[in-house]
Formats: sequence, structure tokens, C-alpha cells
Amino acid sequence: MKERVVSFGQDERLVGILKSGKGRVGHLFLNAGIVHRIGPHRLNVTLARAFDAPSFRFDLSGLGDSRPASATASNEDSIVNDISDAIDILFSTGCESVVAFGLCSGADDIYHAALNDNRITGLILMDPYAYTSTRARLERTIEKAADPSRWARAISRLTSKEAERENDKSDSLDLSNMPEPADPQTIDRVFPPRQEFGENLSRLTATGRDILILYTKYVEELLTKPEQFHDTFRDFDFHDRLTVMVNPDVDHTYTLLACQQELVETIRQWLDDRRDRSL
Amino acid sequence: MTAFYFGDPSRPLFGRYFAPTTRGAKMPAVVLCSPFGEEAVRSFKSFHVLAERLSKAGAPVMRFDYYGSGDSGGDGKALSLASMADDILEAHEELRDMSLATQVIWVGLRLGASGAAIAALQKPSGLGGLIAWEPILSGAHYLEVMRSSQVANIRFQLGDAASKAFNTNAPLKEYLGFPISEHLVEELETFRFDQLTPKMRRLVWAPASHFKSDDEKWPTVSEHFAHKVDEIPKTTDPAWNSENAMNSFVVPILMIDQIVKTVETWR
Repeated sequence: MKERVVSFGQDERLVGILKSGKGRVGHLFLNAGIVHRIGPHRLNVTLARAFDAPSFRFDLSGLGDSRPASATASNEDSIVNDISDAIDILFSTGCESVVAFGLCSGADDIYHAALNDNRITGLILMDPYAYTSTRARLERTIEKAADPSRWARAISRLTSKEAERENDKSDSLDLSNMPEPADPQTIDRVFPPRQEFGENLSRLTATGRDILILYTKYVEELLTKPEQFHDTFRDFDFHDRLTVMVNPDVDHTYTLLACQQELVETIRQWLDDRRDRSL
Repeated sequence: MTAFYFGDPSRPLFGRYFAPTTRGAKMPAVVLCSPFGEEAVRSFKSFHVLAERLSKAGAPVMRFDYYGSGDSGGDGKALSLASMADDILEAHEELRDMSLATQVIWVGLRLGASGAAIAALQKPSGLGGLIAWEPILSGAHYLEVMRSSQVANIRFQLGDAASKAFNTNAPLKEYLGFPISEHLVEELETFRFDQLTPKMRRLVWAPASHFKSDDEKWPTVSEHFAHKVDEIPKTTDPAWNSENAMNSFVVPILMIDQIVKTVETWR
């Protein structure tokens, strides 16, 4: 294994793992939420080691093994600065550009960093900001009405008192009353206006950045098909550099190993296509 | 905190060393032994807080990732109870080298406590004892818990159809996002904490109260396990592996306080 620990940033308060590899395009991995740099289910480690490219996975200030930033910096500034310092590390090894990987908050962080740092030439955004449309809402309503499991759960909830009595008698898990997965628009994540997101994606692609957006079941209340995304952003030109995929059979953090493997292969294909285009 | 790789270069382990920040306290050194999979993610912050508090109290502390986990080398399938025990012994020696401590205590959480108990069978030099924090007592019961959590997670994340497609009779190959090797399953099927006979100096139990199965009832620890056995009273019962709060943290601060006090007064 060709990995080593790097302490970097102001006062060397940040900690990351640098993996050596082939080529001049480095891969950069961001925290997802509060999980440290290995990523949910060690996904960042899996992805970093799946490709020959040099890579750097690190903890933002205050996360994982990294110490907090000074109190004077805003959280947004601190994140952008941390990412810039991390890219410096990859560039110090000979990299000339970076493909940045981010899931959820990590996707948000990459999006904001790329607007200020043109060394990020590729963005892999897993469940970034998502927006709905009239068409998406209508199609989602039809999907829900046609889903027999939703009817089964509704019936189950109606008989929940009996279910509770049964559950009191045993150690079994109460599967019928499990909450729905979180709605991304009801959690503490500030979405920029749709117009702003569209304009910025257009600006990024206009300046040669390639973007892969991968949505999962997590955003199913907002969109379930790539066409809905393109419908929402039909006023914007993404210069043939934006690829959107939606997989409603995958959960937000790719928990099943088969989903993790599929993710690796999807990204491998996108990276290969991107490399071929640049030749 | 100093982060570094250690061990055999072909089998690198990622470690974090917390040097004591209080001098003259004459505290034993402490190796923290993480649990497995999602439970290691859930307890990440707890171990960080515990390591910082112990180092402030004067103890040199080592945290590390097992081979096949975290930032250490290897695929998740490489992880087994035997490999966890080997890695704990490696971390033990590394910490002795770094700190020059004559006595080292292991704090193991969940499967980390079980791995530590197996490692203790090797009677490593300088081992002062084990604090077993909610240890997995029966591997067979733990497998049942993992299986039901896995099914519940699929149902929670992907719905009824996906969970029904899960073959509950097939060997368990993954648990909340982490692979499980056949070897680990085989080890767990026969593992019982109370059948180990390391005869260590001291064992401190830090139990959970929520166990309901007979297999998980708190065992009477026989005298062949340790010369001295005592218990940290229960404080809270954190959910280390619930499927509906993945990728979050649990920090049971009262238990952490109790563990620090136990190490401070270790005899």
C-alpha cells in the first residue's frame, strides 16, 4: 500500500491520507456529514484504492482527526480554505488537476470550492442539492399511487395498536413502523435557489469542468429520473459536460456492498469517458 | 495527537498516538480497541474524547484501525477475530515502544473487547488488564443481531421488496455497509467470551443493561479469566448499531468519565 499520513494547513491542524499513483489527475475525497475521512461504510477508502490515480482523503477542520479552525473564520470560508490546502498537497506531488468526490455535504463543499478554485476540473457529486418540478411532482404522485408497498404500510399503520401489543411480547424489530428515509429538504442543509445552482453549474461547465451528478433514493421526493433534472434546468446550457444519473434502488450512503461496487464501476466508466474525450 | 502507520509494511495499520499532557501522573498506557463496522463509525467520537481525556489525565494512549478497517491496509474481508487480536498485540507493542510504559491497559468496546480478550490469551508482556465495554459475549447472538439489523436496514432504506429479496438463510456476507468474511462468521458462531481463559491481572466489566437474550445475559466471570474482576456501573445504553441512525455519533460521556476514573486509579 502506498499511503502515508500528511499533516497540513495552518498549524498543521488538518490530517489526511495521501495515496501515490499514476497520472497527473489527483482524486480528492471530502467528508460526508460528520463521518471522518474514510467516508460512510469506508466508501472513500474503497474509491481511493479502486483507481490508480494519486489521491488524498482528509478531514475538514473540526472533523475526524483534524483540529478546529480559528474562531475568526466562517465555516464556509474554513471549508474552502481547507479544500484549497488539500489540493496544494496533491499538486505538490505533481498533479496538475483534481477530480473531487463528495457525498451529501461533501458534494455541497466541492461545488462551492470549485466555483473559487479552477484546479478542480472534475466534480463527482453524490446526492448534491436537488430540486423538484411540476413534472417531477406529478410523476412521483403517480409512482406512489402505483406502489403496493405504500398501501401495505398505510394498512399496517392503521393496525399499529395491535402491532405494538405483539412487539411488546418479543424482541423482534418493529419493521412496520420504521420512519421514512429523511427528506433532504427537511434536514439542516441550506439549498441555494434553483436559479443560482443552475447558473453556477453552467458557469463551471463553461470553464471546462466535467460534472457527474449521482442521485439516489434519498431525493426521490424531488426527482426520480435524469429527465426531470434536465427539465428543471432546461434554461441552462451545460456544454455537454454534465452527466446526471438517478438510481432509486440505492440508498443515500450506498450501504449495500453491491451498490458500492456499482458506484465504483459507474465512476470508473465516467472517468474513462472523460479521459478519452480529452485525448 | 500524532497519526502514523505502523506494523509490518505489507500489512500496515493506521494509528493515532495521544501523548500524555500531564507529567508525573504515573498512569498506565492505554490501547483503545474499536468495535466492528458501523459500530466503529458510531463510536469514533467517543474514542476520540476518551483518548483526549486519558492523555490529559497523564496516560499515553493509542487508537488504531484494524487491518481491513478505517485507514489501515486491506479489504474489509481481511478482518476476523483472529486478525483483530493480532492487531491489538501489534498496537500494544507499538505503544510500549513509544511510551516506554511498563503497564498497558486495553479498553475494548463491543467486538473490540472480544478481540482483546482473545489477544490476552497470548499473555503479552506488560498487560495490566482489560476494560471490557459492552463486550460481545456470544458471537452466535451477535450474528443474529447483525442479520436482523441488516434486514431492517434494507427495509428502511430500500423498502419492502428489497428486504423480502434478502435470503435470511444465506450466510451473512455484509452488515450495515461493511463486508463480513466467511472466516469471521465461522469464528463468531463459536465465540463465547466466558470460555476464554487468559488469566489476566484484572478485568473490569462495563456492561450494558439492554441485553434480553439468554446468550447475552451478563455471565458470572469465573476465576480463570482474571485474578481480579470488578464492574463499572451501568450509565446509559447507547445504540451502537441501530440501522436508522447510520453515520452518526454516540458519545456516552458518563461511561467515558467512569473509564477514565478507573484507569486513573488502576491497581
